[in-house]
Amino acid sequence: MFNIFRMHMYRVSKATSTWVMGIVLAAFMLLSLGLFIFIYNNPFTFMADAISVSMNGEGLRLYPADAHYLFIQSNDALLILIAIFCVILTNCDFTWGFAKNTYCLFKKKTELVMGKWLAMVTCISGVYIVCSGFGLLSSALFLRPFCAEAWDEYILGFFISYICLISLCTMVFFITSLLKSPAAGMIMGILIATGIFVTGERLLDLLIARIGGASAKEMTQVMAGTASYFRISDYCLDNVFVSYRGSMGAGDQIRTVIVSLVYLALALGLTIYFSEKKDVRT
Amino acid sequence: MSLILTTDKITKTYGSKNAVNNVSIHVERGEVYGLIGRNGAGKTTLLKMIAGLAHPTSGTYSIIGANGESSDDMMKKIGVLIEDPGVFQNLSAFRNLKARAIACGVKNDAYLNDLLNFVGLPNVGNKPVKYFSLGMRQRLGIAIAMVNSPELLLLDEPINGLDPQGIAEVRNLIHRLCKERHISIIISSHILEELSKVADRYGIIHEGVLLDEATNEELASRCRPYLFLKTSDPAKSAEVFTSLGIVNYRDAGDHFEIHDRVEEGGAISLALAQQNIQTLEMRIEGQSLEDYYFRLTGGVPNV
Repeated sequence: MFNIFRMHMYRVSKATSTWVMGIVLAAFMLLSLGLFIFIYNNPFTFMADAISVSMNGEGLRLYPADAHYLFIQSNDALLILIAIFCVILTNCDFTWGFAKNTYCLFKKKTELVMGKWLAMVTCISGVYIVCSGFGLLSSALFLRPFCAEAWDEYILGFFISYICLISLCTMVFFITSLLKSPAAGMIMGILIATGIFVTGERLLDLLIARIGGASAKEMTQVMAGTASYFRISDYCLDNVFVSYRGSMGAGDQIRTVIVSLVYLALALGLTIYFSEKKDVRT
Repeated sequence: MSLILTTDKITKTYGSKNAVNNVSIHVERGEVYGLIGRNGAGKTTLLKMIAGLAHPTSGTYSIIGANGESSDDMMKKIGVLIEDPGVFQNLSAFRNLKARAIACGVKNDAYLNDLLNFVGLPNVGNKPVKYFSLGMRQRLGIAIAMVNSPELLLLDEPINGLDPQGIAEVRNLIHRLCKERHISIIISSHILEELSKVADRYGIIHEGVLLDEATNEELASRCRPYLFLKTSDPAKSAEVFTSLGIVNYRDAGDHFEIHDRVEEGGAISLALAQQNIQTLEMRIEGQSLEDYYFRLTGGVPNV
């Protein structure tokens, strides 16, 4: 398994597409930073800052968890690039037929799937850490100083949204492996990143609440997530990822982790299952 | 010689069609096994099953180690070039080799350069594979298949689409692999003439069924010339053959096919005449390997 992992890491490191995507990602991160600088320095927030200084003796401060949310979770471009990267990594050896050279080495294909998945997780982890680090550093330098007491929320959020992201990438890995179609994988990644699925899931929530006899006020609460009605979107991975905030209650934090891990295990298990059962098509 | 590969009634079904049907082949260590059949005969499917790229619907196969035991570890001693060479087009030849070397746990870069020299690609440098000719790609495909020092190499139509020079290069390479590196090779092709230049043993496959499996010598014996003889009294003719010491003949009903003393037709005719048996027709006949193949597959010559 580790030889396969090393092989994929070698291939990724030598591929031109990796470096092109790295440059595109860097450009997007800088653009995002520019946008946030613009937002944080508009006349209204400038005034709010001044009021805060006059009242508290210090300016508005930024929660590290919010900086993380801005640069990672709400950054569609980052998610789309990560999805494209996952698709390329998953499908590249099948596209060129190189998979024949590795699949013939193993009777059980589990090692091949795990090796490739591990390579994907390693690359995504690297991107996640760098982007999160960039978000923190640039926020501190160009936006606002951080609240010193809010780092535990950031650390928790960092790990939970990481688990969500890896789970999402594993779903893309599964779809691409199953269909052997880069287009299907990319479409799935883009739909997740742009929140199209989330809209549909929230409409379903409202429909379920309406069928359950919810009043207009309760429907509003369903949308806000404060009603006691069952919400299907709470168990959909894409919605769990985009709606996760470090400030959530412990119950929601645990639900987020469990939902992510269940999707991850399911996607990885099914990928292994189908790799064992299906013939290698290149 | 000992066997390196056996298949036992291996079958692959797609829907209701048997792509490979109860095929049992036997490949001996150090030999070149030629799998001959038309396009769509089931050669690629059979090789894919042996390579672990397709699951047999029924039947088994064993790749046998040097100690005579079949094991999963032997999968790591297979090299594969099935259909097109599987290469990353944007990487150089060396990096493609390196990628498979890492997958196989081979750490010796000098060995990879040796392989490139061996297949005749010593000076390709960092040129991406997408700029290689088809012949170069095929030779690189063979080099990639050899990275793990295989004991068994599966080559599926390796000369397809090559020009005459490319065909000669691949042929020479196969000879060298067998002689210098003692690798057992299964090579499939629909070009009988080319296969006959490298193979030691043949498996003739047609519509998924293995029709015949024979060594070069056995095939030569089946294809050698014989005396076609038609007489007025077949029953009495057989006694004459016995008296002449002819034992290797076949009674085909209306004629005999005599494989002994083929050049002595005159003497045989004289002996028959002395017994008042009239020779109605006599000629020397024979069949080429190609004729034998066509007769066996009962088809139109398209190979």
